[in-house]
This record gives sequence, C-alpha cells and structure tokens, in this order.
Amino acid sequence: MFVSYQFIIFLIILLILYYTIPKKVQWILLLAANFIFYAYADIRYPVFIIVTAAAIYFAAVTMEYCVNKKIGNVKKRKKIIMLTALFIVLGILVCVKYTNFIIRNFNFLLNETGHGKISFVNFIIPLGISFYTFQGISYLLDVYWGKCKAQRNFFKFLLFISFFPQLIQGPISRYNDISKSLYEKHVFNIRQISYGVERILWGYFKKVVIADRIGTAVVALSESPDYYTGVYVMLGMVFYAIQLYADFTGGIDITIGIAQTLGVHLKENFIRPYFSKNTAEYWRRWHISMGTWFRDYVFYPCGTSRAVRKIKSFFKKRFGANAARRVTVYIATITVWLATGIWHGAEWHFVAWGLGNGIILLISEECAPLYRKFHKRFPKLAGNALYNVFQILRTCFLMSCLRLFDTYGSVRVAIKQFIHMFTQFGSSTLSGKELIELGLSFGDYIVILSGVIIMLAVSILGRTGSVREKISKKPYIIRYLVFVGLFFMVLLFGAYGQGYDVSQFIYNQF
Amino acid sequence: MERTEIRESILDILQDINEDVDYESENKLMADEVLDSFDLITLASEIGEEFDMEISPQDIVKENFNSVDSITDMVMKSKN
Repeated sequence: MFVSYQFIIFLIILLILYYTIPKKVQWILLLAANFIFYAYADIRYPVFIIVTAAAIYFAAVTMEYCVNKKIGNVKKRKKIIMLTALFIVLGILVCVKYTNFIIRNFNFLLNETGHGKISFVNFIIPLGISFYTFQGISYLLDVYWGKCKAQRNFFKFLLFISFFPQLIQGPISRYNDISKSLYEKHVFNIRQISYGVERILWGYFKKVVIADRIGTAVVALSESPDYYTGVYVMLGMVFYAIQLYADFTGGIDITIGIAQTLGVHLKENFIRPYFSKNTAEYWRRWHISMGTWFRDYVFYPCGTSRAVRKIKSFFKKRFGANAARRVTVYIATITVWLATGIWHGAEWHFVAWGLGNGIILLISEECAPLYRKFHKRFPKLAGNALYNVFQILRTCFLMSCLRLFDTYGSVRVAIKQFIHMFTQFGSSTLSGKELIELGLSFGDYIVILSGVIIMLAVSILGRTGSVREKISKKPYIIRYLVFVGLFFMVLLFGAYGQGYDVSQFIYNQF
Repeated sequence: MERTEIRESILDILQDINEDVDYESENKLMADEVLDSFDLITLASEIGEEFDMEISPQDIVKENFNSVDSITDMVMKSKN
C-alpha cells in the first residue's frame, strides 16, 4: 500500500493539512488519516481495530481505577481484568487468523479416521492484525505491571493502536516510546521532512529496485523444487536472504520515514543483522521490536511463572540442580519460539521454522562454555578478521537454512531440499543460460548486484554512526545528488509492471 | 540473612552462570548485555529459589539487574 501513487498523494495532502491546521488538533487529523488509510484497504477493517482498542482501553482504565481506589483485592482484580482483555483480543486474533488452520488439521484427523470433514470459515483477516494486537497487548501488560499510566482519552489511545505507518508491518512500538511524540504539537521542520523523505526513498529503493526484482527468481526457484536442486537451493537461499532483507528493511525505512515527516519518532527495527556473529546476536538485531516483545511479554513471564517454578523443583528432586536450572530456559525458549513461529502464520512450516530457531539457540547456549574455553585457548582469534568473516557467514548460512521452510512453504519440501543441497550438488550446474531462465535478464542481475553493493556499503558506513548524518555534513551539491539519484533510481530501475506486485510486502502476510 | 551473606550467594549464582565476568566491577550487566536473556531468566529463577521470593517479569529491568549490588538491593527489598 505504501508503494502506490494514491498513497503518495494521500501522504502529501496529509502533510499539507497536518502543518497548516491548529497544532492542538494535529493528533485528531492523524487519527482520521489512520482510519481513511485503513478503510481504503477494506471498509470492514476499522471495526476490528476499534473492538481491540476498546477492550484494551477499558481494561487499562479499570485496572488503574482499582489501584487508585484500592477496591477489594487489587492484585486479583487487576489480574482478572487483564486476563479478560487478553482473552478478547487474542480471541479475535485466533478466530480470524487461525480458525481455518485448526479446521484443516482437524479435518486431517477426521479424514484419517473416516469421519467426514468440517467446512472452512470465510473470515476476513484485517490488515496488520498481528502487529496492532501485539502493540495493544504490550500496553495492556505495561499498565498491569505499573510500567506505564493508562491513557484516559479513548481516541488518543486509538491513535496509538492504529498509527497507519506501522500498521502494515510494524515495528511493534511501546506506548512509553511513542505516545509523547504522537500527541504533542509539531511545527513544520524542513530538516525533519527532508530526512523523512530521504528515508522513504531509501526504503522504496530497497523494495522496488532490489526486493521486487529478485523476488521473480525466488518464486521460480521455489515453485520447481524438483528441477532446481543442488546448487540452486543454495542460490535460492542467497536470493531469498537478499529479498527478505531488502523487502522488510525497506518497508521499515518507509514506515520510519513517514513517521518522521509527521514528527513521530519510531525506534529502529534492524541493526545490520547480516553482520551478526551468532544466532542470538542475529535475533537481537533483526526485527528488534518483535524480538523484544516476545522476550518481555512471553519469555520472561513464562520463565518466572509458577508453573515453570513447579516443574523446575520437580526436576531438581529427580535429576539434580544442574538439570533443573536448564529447565527454565528450555521451557521458556521453546514456548517463545513456538509462539514466534505461529505468529508469523497459520502454517506448520512456520512452526517448524520457530522450533528450529529455538533448538539452534539452545544448542548454542549449551555450547557456550565450550566456546569460552576455546577462546581462552586461542585469545587472538576473537580479533581476527578472517575468523569474524567465518562467524558472520556461518550465522547467515544457519539463518538461511531455516528460511528454507518459508521459501518452500512446506516442511517436507524444505527438509528434502536441504538434503538435496548436499547430495545432488554435482547434478546441477549454474550457467548463464539457466540463470536467465529464472526470469531475470542480464540487466536485472546487474541492477540487483549494484543494489546489493550499495546496501552493503551503507551498512558498513552505518557501523560508525548514522549514514544520514554523515551525508548531511557533505556539501549541498553531494546531498542534492544523493537525493535526486535515489529518486531517479527508484523511478528508472524499480521493478514495475506485469508480474510485479509492488503493493505487497513479505511481512504484510504476518 | 545479612546483606553480605545475600551478596555472596548472588555472586555464587552469577559465577555459575558465567565465571568469566568480573562481577565486582561490572555495573551494566543488563544494559551492556553482559547477561543475555537466557542468563537473566536463569538468574531470576535461581534467586527466586535461593531466597524464596517471587521475581515477576516487571522486576527484570536494568535498575534491578545491572550489578551485584542492585540485585542484592532487590532481594533485600523483597525481604523487608
């Protein structure tokens, strides 16, 4: 939706109005813009978001009222109110997103036992429901835990839940992080607007020049797994890693850029994830808002829960203190990664992907003492550039292997292709002719390669501070050239037309 | 239990989690990710068991987990 002429016109009109109307009503205009944007996608969508927002709003206000007035057993009351709201909003999410997944699996069991089947239900899945529901839950739990104050104005809370730039693919913002900049008065600031527009252009560049173009080859490779084996599986892994990175970080760049033009500061969602030296580090740098959400609202609550404490004490009696200590981490990790997998989509391959991540992280955790001993034995290795490159490539390879589940959309095919990558390596050759058969021309490959080099250069530059700040210190002519150059690259080298769907982001589906 | 005793027990737990950290001088255990989320959840669970106290998710914040002393303060506070 961000990559269309209609959206650009919508944003320009919004910005003109935003900076000309009285400042005290700017947030009201923003709220109206959210609903125009959302209703434009589907007139029924706003109903869902209003119901979710209302459930959370009333729960938060009531919890705070109970605390202030010290009504009855405050702790117990708060818990009941919080759980009721949680049940409503998660219930809506599960109903619209997972009902057919449950029916499909139920039908599979019925079919096995020869008992007919249940019909699928035609629910509409509101755009960004996973994102706004999670954002709402973070607020609900923060109020429950006393980390933030309840917002008394329902419409202001609705603005927080429905802020349109982040509706499509996040980031999942925390109330304390963005509420102030959402509600405060904003004066027209040309520097802020130009920073925002440049960030949007950078996002468009990644999305339409790189991600959408290379996506054609990813589709070709994933649609014919029997034909594209061996080296092509590896090629698909590399292509998909580029596509996913360009698509998702590009989308987030657009989101952050739009918010910046409106004076709203959103947190960064990626910190050069492909430079991570291990999987734990990768997950601290990729989709940060999702990772920290699951850490704060699933991992910690699960690990400190009464049920896990009971299981731990059972293990301690049976297997000793060492095993018991691991139990907490194991249960919390597997729970959080199963939840992360299922959050990405109602498919078994997402569950397998989540579980795979959890298992790799647990293996890494078990091996941590060994690594420490190894590095004590070879202290110079940590600063060795070649060893660092090896660690980075190893992490990229591991993450790409797990993404095979997503690429092929099937657990069985992904595992088969993973095996084929090693066993059928010799039977497939990588020639210029076959590369062209993937649906990309020689020119496309040049554009992609150039785009990847630019992305890599920007990432490397970003290691020593904000690239945007660095550009702003350059002479006017260079800044102007970067701006115009980016604009024309998007215009001239963007993948438009038949066979491309610029309006869709990979993370829309989650 | 005296403060020094509690502090010693916490140091023992921390040493078991990662013996390579100088906990006496480190005062950004959580902020600088010296302790990652696995370490923190293990630490919270062990402290809860050792001192028979309930550590909730909202307690796992930098103010409580950045140093041995801040962890000791948190335990002392729950004891009082």
